[in-house]
Amino acid sequence: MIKPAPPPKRGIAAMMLLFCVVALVAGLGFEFLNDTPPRFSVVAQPGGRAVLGVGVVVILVLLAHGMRLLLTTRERGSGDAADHT
Amino acid sequence: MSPEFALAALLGAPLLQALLVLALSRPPGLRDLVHVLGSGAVAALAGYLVHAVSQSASPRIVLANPLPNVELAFSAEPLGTLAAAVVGGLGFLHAIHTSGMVRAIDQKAPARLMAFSALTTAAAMAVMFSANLFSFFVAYQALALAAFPLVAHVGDDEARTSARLFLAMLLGASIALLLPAMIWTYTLSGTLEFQVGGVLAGRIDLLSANALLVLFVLGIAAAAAPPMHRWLTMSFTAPYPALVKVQALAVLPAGGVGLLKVFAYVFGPALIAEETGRQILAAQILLGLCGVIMCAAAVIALSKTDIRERLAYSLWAQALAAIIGGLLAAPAGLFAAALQIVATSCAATTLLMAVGTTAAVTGRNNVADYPGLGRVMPWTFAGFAIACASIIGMPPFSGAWSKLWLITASASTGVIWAAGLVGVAAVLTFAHLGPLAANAFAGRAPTDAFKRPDGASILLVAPVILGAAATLGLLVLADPLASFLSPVWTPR
Amino acid sequence: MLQITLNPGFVCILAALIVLAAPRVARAPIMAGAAVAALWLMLDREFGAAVADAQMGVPVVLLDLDALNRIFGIAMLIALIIIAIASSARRNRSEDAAILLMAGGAVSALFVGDLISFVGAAALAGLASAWIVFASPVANAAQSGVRLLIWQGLEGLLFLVGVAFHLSAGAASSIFTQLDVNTIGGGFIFVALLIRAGAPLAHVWLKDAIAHASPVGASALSVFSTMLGVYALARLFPAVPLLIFIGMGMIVIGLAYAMAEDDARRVGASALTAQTGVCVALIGLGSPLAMAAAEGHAFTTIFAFCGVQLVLGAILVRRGAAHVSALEGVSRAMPLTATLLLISALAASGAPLFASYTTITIALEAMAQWELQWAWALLACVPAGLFAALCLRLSLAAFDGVAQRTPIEEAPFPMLLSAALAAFFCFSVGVAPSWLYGLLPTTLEFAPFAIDRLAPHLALLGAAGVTLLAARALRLAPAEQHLRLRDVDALYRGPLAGAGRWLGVVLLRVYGTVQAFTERQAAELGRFVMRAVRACDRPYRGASGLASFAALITVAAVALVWRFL
Repeated sequence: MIKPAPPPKRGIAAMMLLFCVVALVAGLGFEFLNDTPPRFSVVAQPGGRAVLGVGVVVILVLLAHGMRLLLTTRERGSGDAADHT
Repeated sequence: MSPEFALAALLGAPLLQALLVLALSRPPGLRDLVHVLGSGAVAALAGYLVHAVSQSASPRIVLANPLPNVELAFSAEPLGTLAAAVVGGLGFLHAIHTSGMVRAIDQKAPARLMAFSALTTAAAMAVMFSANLFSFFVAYQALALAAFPLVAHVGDDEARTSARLFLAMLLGASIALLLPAMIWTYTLSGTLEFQVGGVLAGRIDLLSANALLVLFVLGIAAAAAPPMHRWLTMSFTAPYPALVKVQALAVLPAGGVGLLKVFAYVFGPALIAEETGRQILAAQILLGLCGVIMCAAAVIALSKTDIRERLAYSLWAQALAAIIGGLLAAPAGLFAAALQIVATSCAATTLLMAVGTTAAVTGRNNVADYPGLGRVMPWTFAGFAIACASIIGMPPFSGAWSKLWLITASASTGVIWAAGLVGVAAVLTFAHLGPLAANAFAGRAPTDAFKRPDGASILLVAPVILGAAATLGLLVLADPLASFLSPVWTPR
Repeated sequence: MLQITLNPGFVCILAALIVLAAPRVARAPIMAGAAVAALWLMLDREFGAAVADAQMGVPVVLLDLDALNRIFGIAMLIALIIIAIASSARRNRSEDAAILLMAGGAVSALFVGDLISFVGAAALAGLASAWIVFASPVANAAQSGVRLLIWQGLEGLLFLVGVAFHLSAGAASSIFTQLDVNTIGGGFIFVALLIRAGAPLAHVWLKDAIAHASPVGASALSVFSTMLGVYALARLFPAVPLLIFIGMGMIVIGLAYAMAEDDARRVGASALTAQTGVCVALIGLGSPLAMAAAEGHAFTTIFAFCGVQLVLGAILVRRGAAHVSALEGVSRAMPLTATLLLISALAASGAPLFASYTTITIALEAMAQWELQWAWALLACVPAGLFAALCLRLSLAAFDGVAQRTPIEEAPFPMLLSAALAAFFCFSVGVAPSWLYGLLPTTLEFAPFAIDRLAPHLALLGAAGVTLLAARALRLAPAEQHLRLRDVDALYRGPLAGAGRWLGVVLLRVYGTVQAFTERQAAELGRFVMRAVRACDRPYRGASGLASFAALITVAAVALVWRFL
């Protein structure tokens, strides 16, 4: 179950988005300009790594949701659970 | 000073020390001073003998000649000299600690305690310097008789029971098993002398070797081979200064060294069956028994809550590791066993002294009361932690190297399962000592720890620190020790 | 020139003893001075073995310098200088000594040339790391220290058993060189090193220790603990294919926990696991380019994560907790710290212009040469994943953009300075990597800023960033909330401890039964003996007495006659 996030605060989110878009466009642009076949795998195609980047973040977000669902322990106070010694 | 004179003095000095302590028991300062100086003299003489033996001297003194070819003789050979030096040096630290303890806990009859402690040292020295089985036997009886009052010192019923068991087991096993083994050896070889290369080599058949081995191992009950171990696990009722002597500094090491001498100088290659090239059947069975019981002892130690009981079982496991080294019937195994006895003596003495200091100053004997004490007694527990690490066999402390050589020797003589058992026992020892030492520092400091307002005196803490330093010393001394001990298995 | 043949690590160990007695003002200079002295000792030497000896027929080589351990040594010792600067921000004598001891043990282990000394030095470093956690003021640090001690103790014992078996195969073989993982000894040492490096299942100790250590202690742990394992794997087990899979596992676990955890220091530790996994996978590959890539990447990772942990520690010092869900207002109250957080997180993620980028590109090149497509793809995921999980998550939380006046309360200056130094070092190596390439064992002509390498990397990071920002805007990303995730250690802290206690009770019962049985038998035997003895105790009366007396006299006479004949 995907928990709803609080409304995204402003702050540097916009600035980071700008930088990421510029990096993406610049990277993709130069990749397509310098396209020198043959490539050794599908991911090494121009644009392949951008797709990889998207895929990684999507998978990580899903994994994070799943892990938080399955593996969360509620912290009591500020410490770990008492040890069995 | 000639080595012979040093040897004679080394055997006689503790006797003199005992008499002086009893005679000069008042005022208490004089008694303690005599005790410490006497132990210091013993340590110095032992150090001199180590130096002499490393220069290839082999002094020998003969006190009596009761039967043809049988003398009451004592000689300084590398194995015994090394053990005597360790026992002597640590005995000096222990003497300082004892004088601190008798003041801190108002020990009853302290002069008697110190006197018998000195007598036990004398007997242990005699065992380690014995030149033949007959002297060994005589010295062994003396050791049992001298240590018996130490176990019974407290005087209550529990102490008397364990003291009776102690005496009965040691004396009974020696007379019932060791004496016939000696006689059998005499008839087979015509002599009782300890010889490099084994006095029985080539003169004994397989069946007799098996039987003789069992007789010796069980007869020297001071080495605590199962089932002759109850004296050790029941001896924890002794007062702390005596406890150190009994477990760590005299009886157990003397038994271990005696058994090693039997393996090296009486059996030698007779422990190896010629057809298979492996150890004889009795040796393999004893190896398995000692290995399994070693692991069991470490687990049982985990269940004991009285720190003295826990340490008794733990030290029993270490003694069994030394026996395993000797039973491997290889020079590497003998070296590993000697190293193990030395390392265990240092570490066990430090541990028991630290525990004694804790009990004297805080009155706590129970494992459950130990967490946090390390924060109020940092020096004592630093020594405790170092000694624990050495007994567990954690690198880089000294016990690790003896275990390393034990495992190497087992693997190279083909008894890999013994190597595995040593490793398992090390893990189990970690289980019952590691968290104890760690929690002493990690727990919350108790607010009402000290019984005495001024804490522990320097007499109680300094020996612990110096003992821990001695435990670390094996790091750099391993190679000199190897060359020092090499005459034990290669004739000069 | 004065040639001192001394293992550089010994200087640090000696300094640890001095620091225990030194006054507060002298401790940081002593730490930094020890690091500088060790660096001088190391850089002044030629390659090759020195101080070789023989103990019991086994060679003991206390100093053996070559390109592999030199590069690790430089990284660790410069990081020690940075940590020394940070340590002057707080007063903790035992932690200072512990850090020096751990650094000394780790650096000694780097430079020794035989297995026995390596085991001793590595075990010393392990025990010192447990001491660091014990000396930490964080709550529940003591229990975490005990857990770390158990892991380190287990590793030390595995080392011991492995070396023993290895020695039993031949004494000359204790030289520190490539081992065979298929032998008993080699296998044990391999497992011990996997624990040290933080392989899957053993990755929990690093997170646990860093989460409970003090700020400076956490950065020291991230520098000296796992990287020693990486070095040893590179030296002892290069080109073992299993390591590729283990490295991949470390990457996956590291990235997953980095995205999901809330405690920022645990996020940093998981990110370190992921980057260490890159190094381990490259070692598994084993080609000269891969080994060079692994060593370079370890070098850059050391500095990057030293900086990250120092910044997070600075936040911890001022705010009492460094949770991602509680980073609001950091940019207002501690602007310098927040900026450093962004910069060091960028450095740790492998953004261009920082050092990690220069080495991750070599790593990708090395993987590409072997045409392992899935491994190459996973390696390429690391910068993207870390950029999203470490850099964006933390910066977005810290710079939350709420307009509010907050008094500025910066972190202690020494911590800021040291974090800035670490970040600056990453930046300077990042823009001029030829210095680093010159240190690597393989001579390298590599252009990391060639457009066909830079462009895809920019696209990768840009796409990852856009995706995460879009997910957050669409409220699809997990919200930052205060929670803690379980890991493998939940298994052994509960069930294993219970099983151990049960076993102990069972064995005790068995022992008690055996003991009772033997006591009964002994009592029976005693009674039997007493009965037999009493049966002989017949009073001498009448003829039987006379007869036995006569027999005795006869035997004695015969014996005497025999003796004198």
